[in-house]
Amino acid sequence: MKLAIVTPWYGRELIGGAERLAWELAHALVRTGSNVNVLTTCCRSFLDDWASNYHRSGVTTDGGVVLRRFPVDTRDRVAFNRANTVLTTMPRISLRSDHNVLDAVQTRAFVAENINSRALLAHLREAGSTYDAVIFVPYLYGPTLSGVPLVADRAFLIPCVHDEAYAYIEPVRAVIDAVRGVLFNSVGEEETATAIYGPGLLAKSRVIGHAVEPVPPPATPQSVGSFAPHRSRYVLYLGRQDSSKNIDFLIEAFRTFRERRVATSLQLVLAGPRSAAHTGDGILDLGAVSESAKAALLTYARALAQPSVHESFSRAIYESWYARRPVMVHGECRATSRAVEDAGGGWIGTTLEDWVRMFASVDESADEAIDALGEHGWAAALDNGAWDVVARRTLDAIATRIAPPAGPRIENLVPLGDAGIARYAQSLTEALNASGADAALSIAGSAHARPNARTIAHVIGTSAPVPADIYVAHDGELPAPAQGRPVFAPSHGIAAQLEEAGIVARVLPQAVSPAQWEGMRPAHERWVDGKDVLLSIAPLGADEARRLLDTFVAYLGFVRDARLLVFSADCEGDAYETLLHERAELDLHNEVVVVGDAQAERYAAYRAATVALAVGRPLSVESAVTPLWFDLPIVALGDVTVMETVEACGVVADTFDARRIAALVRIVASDARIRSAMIGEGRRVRARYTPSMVATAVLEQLAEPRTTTETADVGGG
Amino acid sequence: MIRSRNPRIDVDELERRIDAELARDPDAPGGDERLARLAATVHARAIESQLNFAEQRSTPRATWPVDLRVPFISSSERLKKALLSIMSLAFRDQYEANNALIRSQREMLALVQTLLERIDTLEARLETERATTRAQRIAQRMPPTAVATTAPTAVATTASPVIPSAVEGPPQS
Repeated sequence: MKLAIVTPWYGRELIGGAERLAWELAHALVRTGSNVNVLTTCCRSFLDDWASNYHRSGVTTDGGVVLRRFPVDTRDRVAFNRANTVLTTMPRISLRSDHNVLDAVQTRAFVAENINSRALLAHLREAGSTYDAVIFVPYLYGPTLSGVPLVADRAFLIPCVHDEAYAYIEPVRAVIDAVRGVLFNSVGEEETATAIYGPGLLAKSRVIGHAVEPVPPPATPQSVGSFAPHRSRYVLYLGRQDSSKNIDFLIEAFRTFRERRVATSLQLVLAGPRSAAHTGDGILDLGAVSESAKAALLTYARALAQPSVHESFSRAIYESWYARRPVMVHGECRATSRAVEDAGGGWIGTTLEDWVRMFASVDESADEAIDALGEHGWAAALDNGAWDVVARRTLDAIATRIAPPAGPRIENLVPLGDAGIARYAQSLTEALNASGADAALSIAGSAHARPNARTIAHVIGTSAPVPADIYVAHDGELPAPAQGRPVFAPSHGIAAQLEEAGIVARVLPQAVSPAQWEGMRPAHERWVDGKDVLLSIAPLGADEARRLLDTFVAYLGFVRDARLLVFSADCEGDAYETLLHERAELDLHNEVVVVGDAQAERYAAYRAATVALAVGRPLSVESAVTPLWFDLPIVALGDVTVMETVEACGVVADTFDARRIAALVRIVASDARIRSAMIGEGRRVRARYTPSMVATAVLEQLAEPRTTTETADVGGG
Repeated sequence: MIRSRNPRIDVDELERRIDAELARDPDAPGGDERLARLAATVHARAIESQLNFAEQRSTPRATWPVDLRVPFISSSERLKKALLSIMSLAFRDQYEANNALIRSQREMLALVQTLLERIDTLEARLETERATTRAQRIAQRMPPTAVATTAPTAVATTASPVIPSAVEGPPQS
């Protein structure tokens, strides 16, 4: 595979996260046998003048990598700095999903006066199509912002994004929309990006990981200047010491801890480049240290502190875990907190008090308890893999997006006149096509079925006999020809009914894809105003509409400023009129909003919602799973679909009691811990409904004809 | 009763927190009047819905419940009918008592509705009187020339010289 990596600065000696990634990945890709070209500028580094050419332009080779350097353009630094200052000083509260944070003039200045190279762009324009894929690293510099549109059909982005103002500007959104695929360093980074750009991103993204080489421990105890790590009790901070890394917060938390525990021997050791030294109150600032000193510091630390909230991946955390030391991370950084949460290799804290408590834990805990956490981290570091694994994941992600392996021709046969089955079969057809198969839908018994196609018959007990390779039973019975053939059931309930009849079926849920939201922008931001937004997701009749309003009124008893969004498409029969009439009668014009059918309106509703609420008629699988793609916690009344979807992640009420349900919604809306638990499990549940998961189950079954299947969920749950 | 298979959610703790939330009465004095009124409407509707349900079930059964299977009887239409008749006769007094209770509850509900409406009317009247009083006081604070042009006609005719008030009047020098 011929690949290009586009990055503004490149070199073995560069220490920035994205620069290291570009260098390591380029060499790892060469080791897989790929033809790798690095397209970069002649600028020396991020810290140098972006309009100054340090390296000579031209083509060289470096360890198998073809390195093409292009001269940088002159630029208006003042205009850029003006725009950049707006972004760097923007309060976090201004950063809202789908909200553009920079005006048009400053946006133009940010892109046009960024680091740029017309020669590099000309190369992409002329030779871009000769590469199978062009990988851009990272997201916020000129070569990416201006280069992606030139090769969008083969462009892949490794954004290295975290929750910062740059991520919210329009050109970055345009790049995210345009690229063929997005490759993330960590699950946390993917979650951050999904929160900013919406779930449509998940349809084209993949987590490739980010490798970190272990730092070998020193053979004998080693001192760093006058400091003897092996004789000290300390928490280590490793990295650049500047305010963007939240170092001031760390120092304040440690000082508070020391004020409360005067007798403690625990120290805070800072190691890394700095502009001003921080000393006193048990803080020791070593400045930049050598690799061997770093190894000694990591080996003997009680824990490593990573207070930064701006990370897409933290190398220091994995280096600490390789040394079997636990870590303390900030709860507002999804990338690091998600890594620690998954690994169980340390502590997560958000407020100053949390950090003071974490220091106290590190101080008080027995060595065995600290070591146990470090062991968890070590296991996670090993699992993270080496650069060769990351390179293989990268190639796999690119190949899947550009040219998925050609699958078989498949015909989905559906009975005439059953809309539910047709909808299910349609989503299965789309899932199979997205996985490379050539799938189509036709009416059972019609003459339109294509010859030489493998067949999937969607049947109910009374269906006419249809010969097929696979059967999907949509009720608890199966027509005679299906006996002995592989059978799927769309839900656990139907699989259980089939089992009672002696038929073993695997569960194949309806695919619910986030791809329908790809590139979507909300119709407006009217509902993002700080109020709690309850989103009704269940179909409603007249009675259910009243029930919903009763619940909402009870909710208003707890929270005065709240809004209820109801999809007009969910209103069946006279529910719509009832809703409007009751809204008028209860004087809830400002609080209850009926959402139109336009996709952008629906998108705006999902993006604005705080909690999804289902107190209406039974949910469809799509209604139950779609909120999960938007990371919404769900509170629902029990029904068959809810039992298989919502109950695994959200909370289900057995009986309707408006005030109890309102109180429950209130708790879910306001308690960060419960929200996080529901959203976290929701991500696992929604994974079962991804088109690739559903399609793989069918394609694997077709690849091994006439095998006995066991009752199991395709998604493993 | 709530449930969840999410391993990170403690359902019992959640139930306790719901009870605690409900214990904080949103209708308590000092709360939002509009919300209290809304809550009263919802309560009334909940009572009405229960009464409707009770009314549906308060008449003697004429058909055998489809999900009730009793050996021998379920298979014979004649036996079913006979049993229904006996039940109807045996519980006749009970049905009448139930109907009387439902009727009385309905009367009670109607009375509550009337009282709520009456409260609304009184509140509205009180508000109007407050507004009139406010206008009168403002008119009294204004010099006679200004009163003639700005105060309501009814007030202007009774306008008196400015009487500084310790409560609402201009600061005394």
